[in-house]
Formats: sequence, structure tokens, C-alpha cells
Amino acid sequence: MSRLAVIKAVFEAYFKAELVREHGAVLGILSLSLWLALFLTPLWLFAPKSVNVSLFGSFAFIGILIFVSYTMASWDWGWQLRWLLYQGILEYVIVSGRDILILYVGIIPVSLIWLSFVGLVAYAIITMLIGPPLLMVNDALLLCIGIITLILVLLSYALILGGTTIAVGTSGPIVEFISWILPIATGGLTPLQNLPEPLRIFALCTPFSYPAELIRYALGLSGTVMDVQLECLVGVLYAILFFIAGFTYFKLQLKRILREGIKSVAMY
Amino acid sequence: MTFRELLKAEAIFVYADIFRRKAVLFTYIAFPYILTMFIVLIGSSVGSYQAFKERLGTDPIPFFLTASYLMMSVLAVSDDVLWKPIHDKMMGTLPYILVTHVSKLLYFITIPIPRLALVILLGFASLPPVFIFFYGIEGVYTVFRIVLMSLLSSVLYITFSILLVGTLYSIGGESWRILNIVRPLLLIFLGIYYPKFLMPTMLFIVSSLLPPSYIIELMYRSLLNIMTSQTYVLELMGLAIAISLIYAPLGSKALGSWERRKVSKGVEV
Repeated sequence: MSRLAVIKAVFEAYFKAELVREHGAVLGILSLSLWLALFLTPLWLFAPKSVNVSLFGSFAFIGILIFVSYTMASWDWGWQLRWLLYQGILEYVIVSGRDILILYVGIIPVSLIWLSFVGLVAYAIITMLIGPPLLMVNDALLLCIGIITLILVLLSYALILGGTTIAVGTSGPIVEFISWILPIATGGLTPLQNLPEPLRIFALCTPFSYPAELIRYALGLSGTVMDVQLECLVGVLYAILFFIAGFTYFKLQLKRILREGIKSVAMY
Repeated sequence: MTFRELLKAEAIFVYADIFRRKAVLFTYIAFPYILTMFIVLIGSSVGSYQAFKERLGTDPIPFFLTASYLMMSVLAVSDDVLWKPIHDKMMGTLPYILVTHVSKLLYFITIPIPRLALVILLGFASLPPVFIFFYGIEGVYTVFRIVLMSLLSSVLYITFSILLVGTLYSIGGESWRILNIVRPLLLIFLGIYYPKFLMPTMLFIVSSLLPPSYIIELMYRSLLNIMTSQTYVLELMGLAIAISLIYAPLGSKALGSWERRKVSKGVEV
């Protein structure tokens, strides 16, 4: 099978399994809308009487999108390897001689399609519950850099999580915990300037805070805690280094399971 | 198998798994804090901490910690019951469970009981630091009250969860996609993050069909210092218990219908 044919087959398989079969897209969107409504409704209790509804909605919208991106990296990209172990597919991929990462050619586009659904649904729900989010791009270049570095950082994180998952058998609740705590602790949901000092320093020590800050700044939602150009430079360099580290770690863990076998295959 | 034997088997299964994976136990205890941080951080960055206090007359941290603990308690029971047939189907054990002579109703009643101990553990492990910080020694009494009421909410949710398993899986089969729609919907109706007495009328009516919603309402009334007469407290508790009992025979029938359907049509594995 040519490389192109493999890529097409993998994409088709994921597309059908995730979005088409059992009305996956429709039921998934319904479920997502309800989860969003559950967590967005109490946010309204924080709204002051003289609230700027659009700004309130914009913050909630960007916060939700960044949070869902982390969830996507954790479950669709990181945990996926464990899922393949459950299904008995990973062994076949390994013995086929193909690189495991070829699966991501199928997974990533489907995840991005799903993320765009999330964007639309979140926008509609926020408009209904709070008010229409006001999205104005102040700096398009910075927004692009922010989105690209966010994807790079999330891929690196997914490679580390996936590598650890197949090597030591990390369980589902741990992944769930990480996917919640990470955006909270690293400034994914809140502008760094609103975080308490120790948490802000911690967030700046991680590569996750920079893309979120750049995106919020480019959309005019908040200022940055350091000079924008410096923050952009540090963010890009950190994302590249983090990706190299994540990729190397993943390859090492893969070698390890080929030598020692898989630690745990069952249980959520 | 008697009820006692079933309970023992289920308890060994649940506790062995929990104590084997201590990191999972830790995440379970930490989860109310994570959810509280999530809502309070987003809420106070998009709105204001003070606005919440002015609106509800209480601090958002103990309020959302209680809500998150409640959600974990309710899910501890309902998730165990609702996911069981799906997990068994995925693991290929559903046909074996169906062919056993054990009463399926008894089996499904047994499933959440060992988890109720976790509800207590979770409450006493996660609530006291925050409640003592905010309310001093009075906070200890509040924690006891919240844990007891959460326990009652979880128990009263068992019959409804069984009814849901029977009805949902008889109609649509064991679909995790449908379950993922039902779970958040129920959490909204229960009034966990948005108190029932603030809901619009239609939502309030649907919420009133769920037994735990009455206990949750009582809990919030107490937390928000809303004057509530003893008669009203007893009325709400009585209603919750009565509705839960009404669901028991309906649940039994629905579960029987699901079992018959599985036996006649077979199990896809």
C-alpha cells in the first residue's frame, strides 16, 4: 500500500468511526452542548449588574475553546494509543512496519473538524445563555502564531502523555485529572495577569501559557504579562523545544515497549 | 446468590480496584477542587467574585465545592449503574451476566452500594479544609450535614438510575453516545451547579421528577442561609423518598424488559 493510500484509509476510518457511525457527529454535538450548558450556566452568577455581555461571552468562548483543545490532546491524541491497545489494534500497527505516528494523519484532521463543531456549538450556546461573543482580531499574525504554537505544544504534550500511557499503563482517571488541571494551572482559562503570583510564575515556566496569552492578546481580550514580542519569541522557541523533547520521549517509550512489552492493557 | 453474597462480591471488586490504583483514589478526592477551581477561575476572570457574593449572599468557593462534591457523589452512583451494561458489553461479559440465575434487579441495586462508602470518604476528605477556613468550627457541622444529605441524594437516585438503564437500553441498546447525552442533561435538571429555585418554570418542573433534586435544593437553601421552615424541609424530604419509591417497581419492569430483549435478540459483542 502506498503511503498516500494508507493516509487516505486511516483518515476514512477515523472519519467514519468518530463522525458518521451511530450518528457520532449529531449525538456528540448534543452531548457537548449539554456539558457546556452545565458549566456555562453558573458563570452567569459571576456577572456584575453592569456587565459588558459581549466581552463576558468572548472570555467564556475563548476559555471553552482552549479547554476543549487540551481535552482533545489528552483523549484523542494521547489516550488514543491506550484505546488502540484495548482494541488489539496497536500490535498490528507495530508489526505492519508502519510508524505509529501515521495514525495521527487520520486522527488530527478529524479532531480539528470536531473542534470546529465545538466552536460553532459553543458560540451558539454562549449567545443563548449569555450573549453573542464579540470576536475582533487585533493582530492576525499574532493570532496565527498563537494557534500554531498551541497546536505544537498540545501535540508535544500528547506525545509525552501517549508515550507514558503505553509504557507504564496510565489509567483513564489520571488522564482525566491531567486534562482538567493543566489548562487551569497554566493560564489556559484565565489571563495570567489575573492569576495569583505563584501560579503565574508556575504558568510561565510551562510552554502552555504562551500560546493562550498570545491568542487572548491578538483578540483584544487581555494584555500580556511581559513585552508582547518577547512573549511571542519565548513562546515559539519553547514550543519547538517542547516538541523535540516530546517526540524524543515518545520514540524512547516506543522502543521500551518493543523491548519489555506492554505493562497494562485493560481497565479504564 | 443471596443479596449479602452479591454485595460482598461487588464490594471486593470495587475496593480492590480502588486500593490497587491509589492514584485514581487521589484524583477522585481532588476532583471537587479541580471543578471548583475551573468554575471560580473562569467565573471571576470573565465576571467578578464580588458579583457572585452579592447575588447569592455566599462565597463561591464553598458553594461550588459543595456542588462539585454533590456531582461526584451522584455520578458515583448513577455512573456505576448506567455504565455497567456498556462496560460488560465491551468486555464481552454481558452474556455471562444475563445467563446467571441472579436477579438482575438485585444485582443492579447492589452495584452502587459499595460506592456509597466512597461518597462519605470523598466528603470528609475534600470538604473540611475549605469549610473550616470559611466558617470555623461551624464548618465541621456543615460538612457533616452536606455529607449526610449527599448520601441520601445518592441512595434516592438508585431507583431512577435503574429505571433509566431499563428504559434507555431496551429502546436504543447499550449506547455510550446516548448515555453521554443523558448524563449532563440529568446533572442540569438536578440543579447541581444552578440551584433549582433559580430555574425557569419548565426546567423546575422536570427537575422535580428527580428525587435527589429536592435534597440538593434543601442543601443549597441551608448553604445560602435561606429561611426554610421545618415543615417545608420534611415536605421536600418526603417527596424525594416517595418519588424514589414510585420509581422502584417501574425500574424493575424496565430492567426485566431489557433482560428479555437481550435474551431474545442476543448480545452484540
